[in-house]
Amino acid sequence: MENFWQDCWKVLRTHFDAEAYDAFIKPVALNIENDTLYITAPNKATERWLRSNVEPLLLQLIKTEFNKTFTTSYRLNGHAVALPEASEAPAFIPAAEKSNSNLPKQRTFDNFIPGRANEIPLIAAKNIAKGDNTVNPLFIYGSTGLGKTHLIQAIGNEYRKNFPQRRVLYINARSFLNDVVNAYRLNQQDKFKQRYQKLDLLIVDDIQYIGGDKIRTQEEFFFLFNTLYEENKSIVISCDRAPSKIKDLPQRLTTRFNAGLPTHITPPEFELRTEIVRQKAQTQGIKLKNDIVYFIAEHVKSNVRELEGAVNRIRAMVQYQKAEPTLALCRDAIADLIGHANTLIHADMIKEKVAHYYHIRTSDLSSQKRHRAIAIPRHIAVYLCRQMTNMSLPEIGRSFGKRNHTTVLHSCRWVEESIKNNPNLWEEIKNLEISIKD
Amino acid sequence: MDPNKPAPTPLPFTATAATLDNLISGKNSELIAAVRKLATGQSNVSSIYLWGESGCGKSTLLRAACLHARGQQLATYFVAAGDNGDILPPLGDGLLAVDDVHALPTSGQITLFDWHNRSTLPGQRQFLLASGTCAPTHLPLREELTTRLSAGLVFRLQTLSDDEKNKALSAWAERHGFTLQAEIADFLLTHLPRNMHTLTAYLTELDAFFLAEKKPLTLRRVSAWLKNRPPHNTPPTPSTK
Repeated sequence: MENFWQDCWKVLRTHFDAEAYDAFIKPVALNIENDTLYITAPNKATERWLRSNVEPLLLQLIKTEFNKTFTTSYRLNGHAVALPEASEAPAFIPAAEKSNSNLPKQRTFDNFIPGRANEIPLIAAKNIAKGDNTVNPLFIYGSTGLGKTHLIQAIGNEYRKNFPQRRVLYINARSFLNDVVNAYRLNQQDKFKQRYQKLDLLIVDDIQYIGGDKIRTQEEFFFLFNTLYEENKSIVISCDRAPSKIKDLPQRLTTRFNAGLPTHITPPEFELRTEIVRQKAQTQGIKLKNDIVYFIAEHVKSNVRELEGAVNRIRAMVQYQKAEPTLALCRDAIADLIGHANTLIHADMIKEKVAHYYHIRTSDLSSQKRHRAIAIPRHIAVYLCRQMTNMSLPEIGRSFGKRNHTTVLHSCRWVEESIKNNPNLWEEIKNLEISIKD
Repeated sequence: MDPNKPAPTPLPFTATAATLDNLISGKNSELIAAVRKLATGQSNVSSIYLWGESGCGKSTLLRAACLHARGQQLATYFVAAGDNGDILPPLGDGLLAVDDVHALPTSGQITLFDWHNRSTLPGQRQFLLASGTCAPTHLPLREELTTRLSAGLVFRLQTLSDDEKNKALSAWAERHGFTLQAEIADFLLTHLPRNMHTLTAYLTELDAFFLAEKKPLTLRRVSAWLKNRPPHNTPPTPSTK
């Protein structure tokens, strides 16, 4: 409990500026008794300030820690009181005890798009949802962002629809780990076990997080797994790798995971990607032409989340610009999502591209040569350095053969004036900009 | 939480802070509109990731979004990942802004992953605004985190043009209680590296110097100050406001 209060003070200290902290927060004492957070304030003015500024944050911190909602009560006390220990540890409520199953309703089989990449996992998932647990556990693995979470949550939602009386829980392995830690910290292991063991379907996402030196969590999970398995209850697990590849997982757990049906989701193939884009766009209420759908599917290949991000971005753009999505606009949106590993543009890169474009040597750009075939590309390269980098004019001048900053300004003005009357030059500069960004 | 780590940067509450209303948006108006929705709790995505080169205004935008969210009674938390990314708070509903997310240590990445997972559960109103220097797919972070950042809205923050930077510098000066003539802003843009981070850092130093001297800023004085300023082996400290 002491650590928790220390953390709370730390969060409050960093959340407010020093003045507010010293004036309003420092003189306050906090205490928890019987599901109530007591806040002892020195006066009414402080209490008013705390109510609007601190109370919501404190309640969130406490809710996150204890998985439970607390009420607040204020006490007035003319002087500050030292931070007390909670008189009684608040009751621990594991995720399994919550009335809901943690399942987002929108994740269903209806909006899960089938393809070669997920064919077998989908068949197995539908069987579990029908109550068929001949395959137990169902272990779905694959890289991140391929739809594993959607699929296992769809199992939960369908199962609940088919068997409304049965108890289902979807939980991320990290939350399970927190539950175990809290149960031990509050000495409520029995409560934890009883509540998890009541489940008819346990769905655990990202099981790789119980690998490593989390021995207590692994033991609890092993015990829970065995209990549910022996009672013929269904277990669904997702992981970013095959059971045998989970780092430092005890052999007894690996063999149990392998005993069911380990099944692999692979990255979506082109046809599946186009279908995903179409459906996500439809869900968001936007209509995309085929060329745009193909463009996205061609360029966003690795996972479904990026496809979702692409559609989200296009929708935001359409809403903001109040315009139909065109391929040109979508290209820009997708470029932000994909980007390049090396986004920093520097003078050498610009000089190299310009020299290549005009068939001259890079060193010519920094030389003292003044004939047109060199001077014009040099003006352009200087102009592009000014437009595409954050270099100062003296810095640009130095990188082009120790030229003065006024010479740099002259080059920039020459280009600005020339492109007004010379569409070809404008075209060349645009081409160069694209080539440099690529 | 490690008590030896520095505390997260508190948000500025003074009148000098940039807000979503007084930011010079340049080509970023669509991005700012999306951030405003997120900071108002009205966005239909739970996260926005924005990226761009150093000094293009990411931190300023994140701070402005947090201030906006606070004005909407939304709990906010601002974390500069490079300094204190391993003490992300156990935040519930509200806006979490993580600056320089690429610098998150492993512990911070796992906390953010947890936070992101919670934000997708039914009934949650948790929003994430993160910034980094490259597109999400190239972030040196755990894959499960980068793909989650990709699933929300992703924007590249476009650098302001020199004219827009000139306006932004004048607006910055105005918020800090002095007038910066356009010719001085031009002079700074011509003689200094032109990222806003550096330019505002110079302005902070310039302001402090002339305040102490009790003299107004003129082009001649600024030029002389810059000439006599010690070499840049100790770059100016940027203002967080």
